[in-house]
Amino acid sequence: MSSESSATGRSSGARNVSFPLPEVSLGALLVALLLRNSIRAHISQAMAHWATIFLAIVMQAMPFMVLGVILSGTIAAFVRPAALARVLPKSRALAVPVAAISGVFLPGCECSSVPVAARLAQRGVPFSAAMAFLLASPAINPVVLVATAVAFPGRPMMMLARFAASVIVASIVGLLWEQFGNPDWLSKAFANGSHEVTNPWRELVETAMHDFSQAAGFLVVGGATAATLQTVVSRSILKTLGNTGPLAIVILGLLAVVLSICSEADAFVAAGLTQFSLTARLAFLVVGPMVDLKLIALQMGTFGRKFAFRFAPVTFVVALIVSSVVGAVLL
Amino acid sequence: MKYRRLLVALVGVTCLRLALTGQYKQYVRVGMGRYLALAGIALGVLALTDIVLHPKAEQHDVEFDRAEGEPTHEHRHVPEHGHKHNHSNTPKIAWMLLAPIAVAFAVVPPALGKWGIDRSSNAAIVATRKSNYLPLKPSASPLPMATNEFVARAFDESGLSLKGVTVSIEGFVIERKDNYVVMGRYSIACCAADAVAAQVHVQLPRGTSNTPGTSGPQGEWIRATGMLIGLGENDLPKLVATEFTDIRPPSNTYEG
Repeated sequence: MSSESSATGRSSGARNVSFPLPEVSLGALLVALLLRNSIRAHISQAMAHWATIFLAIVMQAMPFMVLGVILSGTIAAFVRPAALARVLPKSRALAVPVAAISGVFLPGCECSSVPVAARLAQRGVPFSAAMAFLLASPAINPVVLVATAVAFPGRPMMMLARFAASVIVASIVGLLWEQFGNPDWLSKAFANGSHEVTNPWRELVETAMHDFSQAAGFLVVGGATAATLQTVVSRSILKTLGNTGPLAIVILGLLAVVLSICSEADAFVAAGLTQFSLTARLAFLVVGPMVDLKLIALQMGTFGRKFAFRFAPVTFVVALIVSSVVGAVLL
Repeated sequence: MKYRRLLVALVGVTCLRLALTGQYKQYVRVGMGRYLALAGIALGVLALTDIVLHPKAEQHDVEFDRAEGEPTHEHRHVPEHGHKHNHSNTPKIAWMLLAPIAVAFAVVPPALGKWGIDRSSNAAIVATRKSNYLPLKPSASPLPMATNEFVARAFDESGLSLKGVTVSIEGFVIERKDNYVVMGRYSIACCAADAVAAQVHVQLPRGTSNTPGTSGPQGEWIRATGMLIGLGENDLPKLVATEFTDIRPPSNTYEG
């Protein structure tokens, strides 16, 4: 054990020697694999059900996530953010919605849109426009829209409603920042940070590896939470919640925040929430890519605590209101 | 750094193995297999490329590689917690990736079965399928049919399109009573998380019985051949069977 601890010290520096996370995690995996026969013999039906749902959510999302991080790495490496800054209209009232719609061009999940939006803002794109892009792109890019269409067969309006509601929410929140935002809320690290792309291939692999190891990790947490809810909550309870009318919109909005499912996979989860109205499920699809636990964590890390604690609640409320309206009109 | 590569590579191997062994069919749609395999290969390539591009990443803080050409003093001013390009460590959350690996190979979760069947209802099946079925032509041999289609047709105009047609459906046994069984079959749109089970009341042929030790079928999976005759237990569509056999679980456990 002592030799393993020193391995941790070598790899991650002196500040991280307190808990040997790598050894404990890999050790636990090894023990689980060695004991697999007795695990399989003793597991209850409820646990097996949980395991099936959990693995299903993670594996369904995996191809989408891999595609997302590779594209995000490619864009980080080969698309010059300065070029995007130049094509934006001068007027902020126009620049914000244009930036929101240009989110179509970043085919990734929310975890990749955070670093890209931060990079855009550091290269001269107005912060409000970068935020509109940050909020819209995880919900309206082609990969996510196709996933939404696949998850809701025979309901193309769901995809359209998601697109419209997401662009509207992103624009409103961007313009709210333009009116009331304060650059002092942003962390110093964000204000000072920027970097040149010196080797695009390195940038590609580095971005993809980083985005994957972070985003897929959060996906696992979201999948485990969702599987737990599906296992312990019986249909009658969800049915009662689904019958709560307008409150169901708030409930699914909160569920999206808690589940923190990647935007490339959330449509499949929403499709399964058949007890809830389509408008409530739209709220789930609009809120999820904009506000969730993993995103709040990512935004705190990137833009600072003061920013994240203001940005997330405002976005949540705007998203619920807009989803209700768009759902009433389109669904 | 080195752990991040290891984790990404392990997830890649897991995807590839689930795809190649067919185990993935218990969790996601059958068509997803090739994409899962591609994702696995891509992750493996990514991890290998990372080693080629950063051969010395273990000793070397990659942060300074990325920032080449920038004055290094900038980095000293940056508070550690807020540094957005701090890629040099494996993010703690990445260790969660070991959980699906352990579940996939230590638990090997089975396809969904009768546990949790109360979370499904035929209403959800009917809601997601088209209605206005055209009547089927009665034929000499039984018509193989998806259980979800049978249920959807049974509730479309009280089963008019199935009138006089002998069909055969396959599913697992949910409940075994003296002269009938409740049979189910899951449909998935994408993965097991969105699964809903179609359920049918199957009336046993005359002269057979379900009691253990008798001539009737005893297995987990059955094929029932017969005709729709109204509704049975709990308003489930009732199939009056003329033939009733044990079968092996089909390779596609879920219907699309």
